Amino acid sequence: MHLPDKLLSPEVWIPLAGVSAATVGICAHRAKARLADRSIPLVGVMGAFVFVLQMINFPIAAGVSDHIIGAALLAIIFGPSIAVLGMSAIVVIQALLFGDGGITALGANVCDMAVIPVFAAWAVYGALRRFQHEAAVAIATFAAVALGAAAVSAWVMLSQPYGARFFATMMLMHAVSGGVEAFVTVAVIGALKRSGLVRTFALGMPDA
Amino acid sequence: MRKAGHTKALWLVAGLVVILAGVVSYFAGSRPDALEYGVSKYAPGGQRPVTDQQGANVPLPEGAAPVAEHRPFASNAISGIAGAAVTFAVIAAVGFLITRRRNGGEAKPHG
Repeated sequence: MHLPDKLLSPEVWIPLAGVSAATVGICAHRAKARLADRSIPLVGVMGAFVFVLQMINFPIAAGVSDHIIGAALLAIIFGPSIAVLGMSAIVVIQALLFGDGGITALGANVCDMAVIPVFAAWAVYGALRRFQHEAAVAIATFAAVALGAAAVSAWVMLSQPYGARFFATMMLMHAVSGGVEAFVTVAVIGALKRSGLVRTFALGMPDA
Repeated sequence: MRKAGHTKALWLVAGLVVILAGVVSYFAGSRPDALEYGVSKYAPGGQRPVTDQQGANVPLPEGAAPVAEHRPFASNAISGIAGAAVTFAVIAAVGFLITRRRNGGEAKPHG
C-alpha cells in the first residue's frame, strides 16, 4: 500500500505532508506523558515485529499479493500517540532504506498507514471493547485497513483521473487483506496477553 | 522476580522477530501489491504509470541486500534483519528522546 513518487500531484502530496508532520508532532508531544521508560524496549520490539510482518506478501487474488499494515496492532497495544510514532518510523525507514514508497509520497504514506489506520483502530476498538474483546480487535483492524485503503484510493483519484472501478477493486482487495490482518492481530494480541508482557508494560489494554 | 520473567519474555519476542526477519523475509515479494495492481490495471488512457519505486538509490532495494545479490535467501535475510534492527534502534532512540525531555534532561528509571 506504499504510494510511489510521481503518482500523486503536488496539490495532493504537499498538504498531506503538512497534515502528517503536524500529527506526528502532536503525537510526540502527547507521548511524553504516556510513554514509560520501561515500555521503550517493548515498543521497539513490536515496531520491529510490524516491520517484519509488512515484508511478508501473501496472495489475495491471481497475480496480486498484499501485506499486513500493523497499525491496528500497535494502536490497540500502545494507544494512538505511541502507535502513530512507531508506524511513522516504519514508513520512513521503508522509504529511505528499502525504496518502498516515494519520498514525495512520504506524507501521504504516513497518513494512510500510520495516522488514519491508527486512529480508526483506536476509535473502533474503544467503542466495541466492552462487548467482546477479540471481536473488537478484529473489527477495529478491518476498519483500519479499509479506511487506509479508501484514503490511498482517494489521493490517487484526486491526482489522476482514475474511476470508480479502480476504487471498487482497491476496496475489494483490501477487504481480503483486512480480513487476514484482523485474524493475525487477534492472534498476536492474544499471545501477548498470555505472555504477560502487555499487562506489565502497555498502556492501552483493558486490563493494563 | 516478575521483572526478570518479563525481560525474558521480551527477549523471546525479540528472538522471534529476528528469526522471522531472517526466514520469512524471503517471501518479501517483487509481485505487485494491491495498490500497484490497481493503479496499473485502471491507468487512465491505458498508459502504464510509474509504479516501481525509486529502485537502486536506496541501500536495500525491494528488500534485497546488494552485498549478497546472487544468493536471494541470504540477501533477503540480511535486509530483513537489518530492517528490523534499524526499526528497533530508531524507535528506541525516539522513545529515549521523548522520555528524556519529560524527565528534565536525564533518563530516570520509571517508578
